[in-house]
Amino acid sequence: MIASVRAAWFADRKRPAVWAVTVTWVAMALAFGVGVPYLVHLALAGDPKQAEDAASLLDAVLPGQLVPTGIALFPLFGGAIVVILGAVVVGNEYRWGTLNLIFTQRPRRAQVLAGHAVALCALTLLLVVLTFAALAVVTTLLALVEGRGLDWPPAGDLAGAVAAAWLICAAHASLGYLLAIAFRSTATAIAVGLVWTLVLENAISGLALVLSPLEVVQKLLLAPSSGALAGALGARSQFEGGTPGVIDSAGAGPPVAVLLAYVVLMFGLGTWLAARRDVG
Amino acid sequence: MTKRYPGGVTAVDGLTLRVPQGSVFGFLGPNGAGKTTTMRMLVGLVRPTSGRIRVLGQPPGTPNKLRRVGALIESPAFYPHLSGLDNLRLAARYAGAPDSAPSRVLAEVGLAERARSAFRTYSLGMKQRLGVAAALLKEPSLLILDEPTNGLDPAGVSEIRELLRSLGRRGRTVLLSSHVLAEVEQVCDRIAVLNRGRLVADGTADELRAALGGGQLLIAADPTDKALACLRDHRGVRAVEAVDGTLRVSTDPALAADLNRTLVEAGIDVRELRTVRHSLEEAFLELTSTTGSSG
Ligand SMILES: Nc1ncnc2c1ncn2[C@@H]1O[C@H](COP(=O)(O)OP(=O)(O)OP(=O)(O)O)[C@@H](O)[C@H]1O
Ligand SMILES: [Mg+2]
Repeated sequence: MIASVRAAWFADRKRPAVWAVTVTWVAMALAFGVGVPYLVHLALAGDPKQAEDAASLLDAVLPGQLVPTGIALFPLFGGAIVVILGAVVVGNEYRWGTLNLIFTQRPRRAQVLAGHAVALCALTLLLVVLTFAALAVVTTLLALVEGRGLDWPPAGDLAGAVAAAWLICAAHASLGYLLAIAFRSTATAIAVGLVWTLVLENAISGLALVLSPLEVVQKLLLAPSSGALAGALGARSQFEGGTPGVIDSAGAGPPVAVLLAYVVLMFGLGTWLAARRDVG
Repeated sequence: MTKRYPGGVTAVDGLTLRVPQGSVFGFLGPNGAGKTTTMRMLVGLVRPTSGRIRVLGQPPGTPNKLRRVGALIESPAFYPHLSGLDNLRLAARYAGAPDSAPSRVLAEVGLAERARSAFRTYSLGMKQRLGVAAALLKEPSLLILDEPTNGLDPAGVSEIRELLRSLGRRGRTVLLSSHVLAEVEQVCDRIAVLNRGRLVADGTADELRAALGGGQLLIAADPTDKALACLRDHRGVRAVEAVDGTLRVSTDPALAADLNRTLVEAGIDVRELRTVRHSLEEAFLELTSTTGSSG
C-alpha cells in the first residue's frame, strides 16, 4: 500500500496539469481574495461617504482576517478547481492507458486506486497550504504598505481554517475522482463535475429558498455543505456582501459530517468501480 | 474461455488453449481475431464471460503470480510527461522490482541512450521498445507480448527476435501474438491460429503445414500419362494434375521416396522429383479465409 501511494505521488506530482491547476488556483485566490477587494478599497478610499465600506474592505485584506478571507474562497471557486484536479489525476490514467501498465504489475487494483486517492488528498492539502501561505505573504505586504499593525489570527484558528479548506477540497476531489472513473475519461468528468457543483447544486440551493422541503436536500449537497462550513468559520455569506458560495451556518458539525461522508463514499465507490470493471 | 463485450461482440469464442511451460508460443490471427482480448484475460485486465483460466496455476491477476508475469498488451502505454527511465522506475515500484531493473532492461532493448527523454518525444519504435522493456522488468517466468515488433525497424525486429529466442533458451515461457507469419514461424516452438475468436489450428509449424495437406511434390516422369494413372491410385495422394508435362501431386512430402519407388518399379523414368512445401503463410491464409470451424 505504501508503495502504491509513493508511486502514485511520484506520477502525480510530476504532471504538468497538476501544477497548472495549482498555480492557476493560487493566482485566482490572490486575485479574488485580496486583489479585487483591495482595488475596490482604493477606489472608495477617496470618498468620505464610503469610508466605512472602504475600511472594512481594507480589513479583509489584512492578516487579521486571514481565516474568513481564506476559507471563503474554497466553497465555490476552490471546489470547482479541485474537481478538475481529481478528474485530471485519475482520468488521465484512462486517457493514456497507463492503468493497463500498472494493473499488470503486481499490486491489487484497489491499492493502485487508493494510492491515487491518498496522493490526491496530499495534493489538495498542499494546494490549501500554498493558498494560505500566499495569502499570508500578500496580506502582510499590504499591512506594511498601509502602515497597519500585524495582528495575526490565533494559530488554532488558522489550523482550523486549513483543515476545513482541506476537507472541502478533498470532498470535491473525490467527486472528480469518481466521475473520472465512471466515465473513464478526463474531459467528461470535468464537464459533468462542474455542471454538477456549479449549476445543479446551485439551482437546488436557489430553489430551497422558496421550497422549504428542499432545505434538507440542500444540506446534503457538496457545494452548500462547503459553503456552510466556511460560514461557520466566520466567512460572510453572499447575502451579506461576502463571497459567492458561502452560506450562513449555525455550526460546523453537520457540514463536516456531510463532507467527510462525501470523501469516504466517493473515493470508496470510485475505487470499487475501477477495481471490478474491465480495463482497456 | 469466452469473452463477449458489452455491445454484443464475441471476441473470444470457446477458446481452449494450453501453453506449455518453457516454450515460445505463437498466437496468430488476422485483425480482430481476439488475440489481444485473450491476452487481456490472461493478465486479468478483462474478465472472461465464461470459462476458466489458470496462469502459472492460479487465476489471472493474482498479485503473487503477476509478479512472475510480464506483459505488453496492445500499444505501449506510459506517462507522456515522464522519461522512459522514470516510467520504468514507476512500474518497478508498483511491481516490487529492484531499483537496478529499469536500467538493465533499457539496455536490453537498446534504449539506454534515450532513457532520460520524455516518453512523448519517443518515436513509434522507441515506444514499442520501452513497452517490451517494461514487460521484462520483473524477470518474468511468463512473458506475454502482443505484437511486440509493431513499428520496429528491421534491426529492431531482429533484436526482439533474438531476445525472445534467448528468453526461450533460458526456460522462460513466452506467449507472442502477431499477424506477421514469418516472425512467429522463426521464433515459436508452437503456434495457435485464431480466427474470429475460435482456435482453428494448434501445433508446431510443421504440424500446421501437415494439417493442411503438407504441400506438393513436383514430378517429371516419362511416360507422363502412365505415371499419372499410377500416382492417382497411390495411398496418401489426394490429387494429381499434369501441368506443362510436370505432375503436381498433393500429398505429404514425406511420401516422396515412397512414390519414387512405386514409379520406378512400374517401369517409369523419374527425371525430377521436387518438394514444394506450403509456406506457413499459405497455411495461415487458408485457415483464416474460411469462417473457421474449431480445430
Ligand atoms: N473494449 C471492447 N469493447 C467492445 N469490443 C471490443 C473491445 N475490444 C475488442 N473488441 C472486439 O473484439 C474483437 C477482437 O478484438 P481483439 O483486439 O482481441 O483482436 P486482435 O486479434 O487483437 O486484433 P488485431 O490484430 O487487430 O490487434 C474485435 O471484433 C473487436 O472489435
Ligand atoms: Mg490486437
